[in-house]
Amino acid sequence: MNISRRTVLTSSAALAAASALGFRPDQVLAAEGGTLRLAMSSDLGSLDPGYFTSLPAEIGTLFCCMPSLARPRQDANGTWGWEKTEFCEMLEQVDDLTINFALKPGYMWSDGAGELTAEDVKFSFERMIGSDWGGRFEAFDRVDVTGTHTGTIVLKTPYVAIWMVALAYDSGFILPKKAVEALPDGRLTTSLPAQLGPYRFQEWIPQQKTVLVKNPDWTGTPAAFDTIEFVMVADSKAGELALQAGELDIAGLLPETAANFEAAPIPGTSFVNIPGTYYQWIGLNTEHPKLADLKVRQAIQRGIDVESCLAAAYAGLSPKATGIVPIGILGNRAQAGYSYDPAAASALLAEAGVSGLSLTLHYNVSNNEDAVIAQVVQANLADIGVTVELMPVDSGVYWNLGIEANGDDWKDLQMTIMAFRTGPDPLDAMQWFPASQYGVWNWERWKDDEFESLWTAAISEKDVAKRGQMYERMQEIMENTGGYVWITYPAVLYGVSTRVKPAFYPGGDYRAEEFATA
Amino acid sequence: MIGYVVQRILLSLLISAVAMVALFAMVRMIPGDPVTLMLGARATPEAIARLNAQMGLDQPVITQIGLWFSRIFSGDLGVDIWSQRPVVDVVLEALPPTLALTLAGIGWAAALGIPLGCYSALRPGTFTDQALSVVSVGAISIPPFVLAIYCLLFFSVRLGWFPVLGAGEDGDLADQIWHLVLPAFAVGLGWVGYLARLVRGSMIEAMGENHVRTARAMGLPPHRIVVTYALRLAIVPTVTMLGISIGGLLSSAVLVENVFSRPGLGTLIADAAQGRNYPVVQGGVLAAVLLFAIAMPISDLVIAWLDPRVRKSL
Repeated sequence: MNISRRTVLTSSAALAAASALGFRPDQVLAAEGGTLRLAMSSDLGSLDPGYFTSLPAEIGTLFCCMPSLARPRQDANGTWGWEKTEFCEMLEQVDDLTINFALKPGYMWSDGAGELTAEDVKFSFERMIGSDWGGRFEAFDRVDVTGTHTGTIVLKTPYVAIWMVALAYDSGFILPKKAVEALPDGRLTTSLPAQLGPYRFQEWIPQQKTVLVKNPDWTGTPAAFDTIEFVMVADSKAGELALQAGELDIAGLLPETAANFEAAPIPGTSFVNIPGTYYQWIGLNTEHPKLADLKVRQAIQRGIDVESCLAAAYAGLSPKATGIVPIGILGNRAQAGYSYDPAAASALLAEAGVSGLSLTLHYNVSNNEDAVIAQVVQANLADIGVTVELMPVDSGVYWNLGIEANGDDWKDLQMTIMAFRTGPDPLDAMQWFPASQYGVWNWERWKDDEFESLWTAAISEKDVAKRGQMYERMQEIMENTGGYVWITYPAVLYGVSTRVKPAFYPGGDYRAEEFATA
Repeated sequence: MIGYVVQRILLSLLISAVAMVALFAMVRMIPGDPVTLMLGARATPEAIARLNAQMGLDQPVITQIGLWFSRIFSGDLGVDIWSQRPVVDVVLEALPPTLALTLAGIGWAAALGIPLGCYSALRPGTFTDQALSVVSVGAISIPPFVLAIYCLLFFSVRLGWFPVLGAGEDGDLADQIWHLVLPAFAVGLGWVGYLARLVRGSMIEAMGENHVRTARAMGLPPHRIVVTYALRLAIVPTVTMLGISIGGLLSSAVLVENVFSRPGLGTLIADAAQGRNYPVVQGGVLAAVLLFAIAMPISDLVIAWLDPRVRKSL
């Protein structure tokens, strides 16, 4: 083939003209041809509910392709509860220790794995007990199969949180017993031996995407898209650009860009701010000699301007926390019992007879927001005469600092910036603070008798309103120790194509099976 | 010559062995318990025990060292702690996109940078030479990841000419090349400037060599003097530089892969490090070291082929 100068010039001119007319090369555009493309910041790890890493691509795939008895659902007030799925004919808690279920007959697993039966439920839940996520099934005893499609879940002790912690969320998936038992070590990796749901897992391309396709044999609520792709996007900025270019339907946004996005959304996109299920606070070691006086701790509570922390670290897009139970979860408090008041803080320090106080603040260097918050705290406390030395620490080391079993670092801890994630039940958030967690995850190092009795009682309290009040009181007790400065429940921020209607699970994970075209 | 080849290969093997020892020490030197760091401090005792056994951390250190080396020599780099896939498979999947990006980046950089360097060298001190110098230094100064973001903004978002994400569909070569254009441009632009400067300097020196002056005196055509006599000599430092720059190229590729969400060795290592998936980190770093160890002797052999004086000295 001869390429002359004339050919090159003609081709260039044609390309330029095509560009000017809006021609786009044959790229795969999101939501075109029934493809939903969702950005994921991490690659698929494992699809086994007992051993997965709880990453959004894993949870999203399992909710689309595997059955469960129940799933989360928000009530009219935005509080998360549960509902039975379309696989269930009946699901009810008979008493504190017994839950009866009846599956609808006729739901068939793919790949010749037979019908969905109560034996599958028994196998799936009982294998969770010894799994990496077995902690969620501690109160679980067994499943008694009473018929092909019926059975009874038996608990060892009353545990009302079993619904939101285990059965209705990402540990409640039912696996095909025969197909899983046939696997070499009885564990799923990055494929599913048999599936049952509106979508089917088609392929995982490492470091690129996980592809689901519409299940042609599905007889339940129809799937909205022919294909769902969980696309790996390591860089948030690239995700935002891909959204603008039409290659994604939804992408996570960093707080600083989200603020601009909210102020001036890019044409064809909208901004979504979902209450997150992380809870972040500044912890004060109540046993450290410098912080042993309650008045000093109360002074620090009042000396930190949380609004400034949120403006600096989260561009003002995350709500001010009132405790450890995030918004939308039973037990979330309307407001904290203290507020920013530097004059009161100075007065409390004077009452305690403390001057020239210097403290250390450890934070996880992996979280950019923590570094920003630490600097605001340093400035705020300087205003009331407290010098703060910032101590950035690598995340691996950081999460061992306060654990007595892992060294002596806990003895020197004074202030820490902490953030845990909870499931959609307050018990999940509260489990790290009873007396048994003293020296483990209760780095503020306190114990309280009333808290202990409330903790025990709330586990079996079936009256929802009363249970909510119990968790509110427990947070009040925590706050009164002076060991906590509530910061935020970091919001989950998305840019979304106007071509789709998004849906989310608690904490902002994609509810891919319920996304729809706009 | 054979002795020289053997010597270079032995040196590469030594570099690889030292790297393997360093990798072994890396995991053991992490403060705290590596398994707890990998699984998170809230991991159950069962999960910790399982991973300890899987990684051989429940064995005495001497046994661990023996196991580590015997596994590597038998091609077993362990298992990805999350997906349970062999690390060898994971690394081999990530290698081709990185090699494609690195080779494409350096390929276009060499194809443009070397002629530009020659062009400048043949017109030293002219306006064109000075203009090319400014452009070259400018290209060197732009970090690849910054360039990558601006490429995305302009060519993908504004003009819609190129895709933003990924490496293209498997089995579709045209699509894969289409996805490679911007990342390769971002990786290679700095090298265009660098090679142009390097070749310019070497060429000016080579053009003053006796054999080049002799060729000129004998009335050989200018293009033959430049390509056959001067460039062949001037390219030697460039080849040396390309050989030892494989590490730098991989670093650029890591950042660019991240921006374009391309699969590859860089993304693999970065993700694994973030997730504290140490078997994969070790496997990925070992692959990068081996690439370096392979590139070094190849560049030495190319130099020996190009320069008769090097061949004679062997």
